[in-house]
Amino acid sequence: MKSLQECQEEVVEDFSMYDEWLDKYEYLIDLGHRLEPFPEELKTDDRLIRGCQSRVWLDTRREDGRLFFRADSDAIITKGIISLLIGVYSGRTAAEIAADDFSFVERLGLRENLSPTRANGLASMIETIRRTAENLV
Amino acid sequence: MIETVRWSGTTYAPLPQKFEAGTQNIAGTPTLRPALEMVKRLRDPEILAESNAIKSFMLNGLNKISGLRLYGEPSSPEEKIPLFSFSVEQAHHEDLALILDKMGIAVRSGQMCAEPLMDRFGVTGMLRVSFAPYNTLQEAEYFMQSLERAIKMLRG
Repeated sequence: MKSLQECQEEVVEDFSMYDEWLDKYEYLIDLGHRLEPFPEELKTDDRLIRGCQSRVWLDTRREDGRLFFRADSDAIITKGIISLLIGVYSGRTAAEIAADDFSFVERLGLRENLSPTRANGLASMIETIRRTAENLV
Repeated sequence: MIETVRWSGTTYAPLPQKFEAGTQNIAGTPTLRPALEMVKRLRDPEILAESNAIKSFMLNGLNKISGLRLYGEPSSPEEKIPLFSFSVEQAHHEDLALILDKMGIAVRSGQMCAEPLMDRFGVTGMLRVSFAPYNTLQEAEYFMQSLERAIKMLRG
């Protein structure tokens, strides 16, 4: 398995291949469509991330000391963003995730290209992943 | 800032958002005078004609898009102001707003601070495009082309 940093570099590099934001969105839409299906019965209130304009559910499973994330959203671009986060953090140990500063997200430039309420939603997703890991360390 | 608003009661967002008040209308003070002058100009029949042309064009264009649901359609176009709230099947309002933003179009998306109304229509949110007196028919045409392109991107 690639290291967390290698994985983040790869995501940043892939995302920077597209100069235009519409192309970046096309890429996120494609990722969103390819995200592993999320079981309907897991769409519960306790898995719902607060603060997102679209609804986002995040499910965490712990196996052999590693955290595995699954998620879904009713908005496809949000699903694409989730897919990026899951690709980087799923399958890592809680200690590894808790020690990360999540700064690679800044390098994607997503935050400044989202409106404040949508950027808050992204921050809530990150915060949920971070807090889940921190609680297990 | 709220979390949910229902007829039965309201809950607030967690801290610190709970105490976030709306932005004070600072820009409103220096712009009051030019705004009043603008209102005088609104009586200009040309502006009224352009606004009516935008309304007809938009009502006609939006109703042609498959899976688009327009809210608040009046019995006659005269009763309508050039403001259109709608939702589109297989295209989330937030996704549409993000894409339209990159096309240079600012729209409102979400629950419009009116959750009970969203429940009434059975939707999680809507998209709203509002035309001001300074908008042109050409801009409305650009909006419709952009909306169609955005829907196509999302539906794949």
